[in-house]
Amino acid sequence: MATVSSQQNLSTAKRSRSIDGRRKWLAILILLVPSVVVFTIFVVWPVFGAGYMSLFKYKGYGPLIDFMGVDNYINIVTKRTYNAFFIPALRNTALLLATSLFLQLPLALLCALMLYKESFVNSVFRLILFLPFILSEIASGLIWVFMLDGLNGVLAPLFMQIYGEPYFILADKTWGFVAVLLVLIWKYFGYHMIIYIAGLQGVPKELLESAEIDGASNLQSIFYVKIPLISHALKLSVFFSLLGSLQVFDLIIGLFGASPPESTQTFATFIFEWGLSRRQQYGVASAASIMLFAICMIVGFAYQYFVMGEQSMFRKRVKV
Amino acid sequence: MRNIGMKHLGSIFKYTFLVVLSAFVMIPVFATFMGGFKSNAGIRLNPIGFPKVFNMEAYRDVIQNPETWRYAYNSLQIALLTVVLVLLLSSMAAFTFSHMKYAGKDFIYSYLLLGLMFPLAVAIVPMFTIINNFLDLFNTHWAIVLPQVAFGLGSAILFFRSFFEQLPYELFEAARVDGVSYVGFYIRFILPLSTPILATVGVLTLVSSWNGFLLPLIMLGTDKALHPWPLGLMNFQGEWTTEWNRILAFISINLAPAILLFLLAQRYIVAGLTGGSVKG
Repeated sequence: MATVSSQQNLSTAKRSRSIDGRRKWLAILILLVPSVVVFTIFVVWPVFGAGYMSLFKYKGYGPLIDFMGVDNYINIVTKRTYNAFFIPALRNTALLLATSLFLQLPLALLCALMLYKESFVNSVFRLILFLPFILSEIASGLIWVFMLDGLNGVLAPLFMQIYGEPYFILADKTWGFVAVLLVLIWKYFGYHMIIYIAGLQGVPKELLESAEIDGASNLQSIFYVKIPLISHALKLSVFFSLLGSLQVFDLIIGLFGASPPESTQTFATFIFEWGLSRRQQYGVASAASIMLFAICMIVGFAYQYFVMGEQSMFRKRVKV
Repeated sequence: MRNIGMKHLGSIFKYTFLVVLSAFVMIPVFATFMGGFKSNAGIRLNPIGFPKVFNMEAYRDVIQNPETWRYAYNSLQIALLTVVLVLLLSSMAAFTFSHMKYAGKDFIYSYLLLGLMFPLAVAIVPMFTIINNFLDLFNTHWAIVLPQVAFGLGSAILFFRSFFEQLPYELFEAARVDGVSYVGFYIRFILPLSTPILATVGVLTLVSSWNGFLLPLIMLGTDKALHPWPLGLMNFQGEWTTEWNRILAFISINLAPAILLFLLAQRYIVAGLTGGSVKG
């Protein structure tokens, strides 16, 4: 009798566990599938699609039949028709990256060091410097078109003084893109400042005080105490700045209109221009997409792996 | 004594620097708002300062123009759909990552984070073909909402997962013993406890959807009836090219809700942008 009942117990336990397991899988299906489906259709499928399309000559309609192998990739780099746009786009994207890393981030750090302590005046300055981040890139672009306009703009009198005649910097092949760099800093440095301020506010006060008591000068406490202690915030903001610079698009359109001149193209506007806008060469645009994708993946994973290390977003586990 | 003198000098330098920098940031915004109150000749003579006479014509025209409100309505519709879907989908997925054990969890988690690693521009060319040829959604708001949701999932899941993992796990165990199902626990316990993170992710998603330009530019046709505000700005500038007072009034009306939201929801925006750096 005893054995029978224990067997019965065992089988009901097994059954209830398997019901529980089935319920669990049902719950996972309900909760997880919507995200996976939407993500697969609108993020992953297009990337594979770009990879496939990049091997063809394609005008955007009809079947994909004109197979070219990797010719699109080679042509972008070597053929005059394409590289007259592609090389400036690459150069400009590199310029955005350099400006973002070497001008914007130091400026943001300097402001954060000045403003991280809690006081009314500091919070007003923070609010002001952070404000442009919330404005749309298009509106920001148009505001700066007005600022820089050679006839009506805010800076027109200044240009008049320098050049003696109305000067349109956005139409200037050399200086037009410098204006983009200026607007980039204007719009985004406050964002990085906020990241640093949060980091600095997380530094225990005792550490700073003990550094002061030990006779550390301001500069010493900045370089030996504050900066090392906010290294995570710094790494994070460098990551955002890297990926952000690779995707500048709206700002260019806001400043230069829907078909920006060659001298102001970026990687993203190149893809737009050759694919969906004027040129209708989907294969070429897709090849550029895949190049940008490869760059992002290499930079992104290398950064997550080598720089973020244990703090990588792929590894981040908060133990419960 | 010398030390005090240095300190004064330091703070004079510091505040001069901050005031100049704030002027650099604010003058464009201020000049835009004021420009709407000027005549075009007035703008040319005095682009920065207060107008001599506050001329309401440009603002009145923009406010009375039904197009302005249609752009606002379209933007709002797209943004709200995006926010609701991002919050729902990503919090559901994040709950399975934080509270459930199953095979392939780490893989699926990393898979969904990939969207954080590259920009929308990478996917935009084939996305157009998919939306247009396969899903037949061209020139609908869904063509903007769904890709926005897909690209917004990564960071939202990151936020929700780390928030959920900080909720007391005993609550979950107790509820499980009482026979509460997984989905029931998500609806009855997780969601009500998550209002701060829902607000944070919601506000950030709202801002990026409201400001988004590339998707509307590509997924909508030339019919202005469906255009959201960023496209509207480009349309308006195209129509009025050099009538700066009208353009500036239009931009100002567009900036107003963004700035209002910024002032009201600043706490959530800051929390959202810095969440990772504070907890890390």
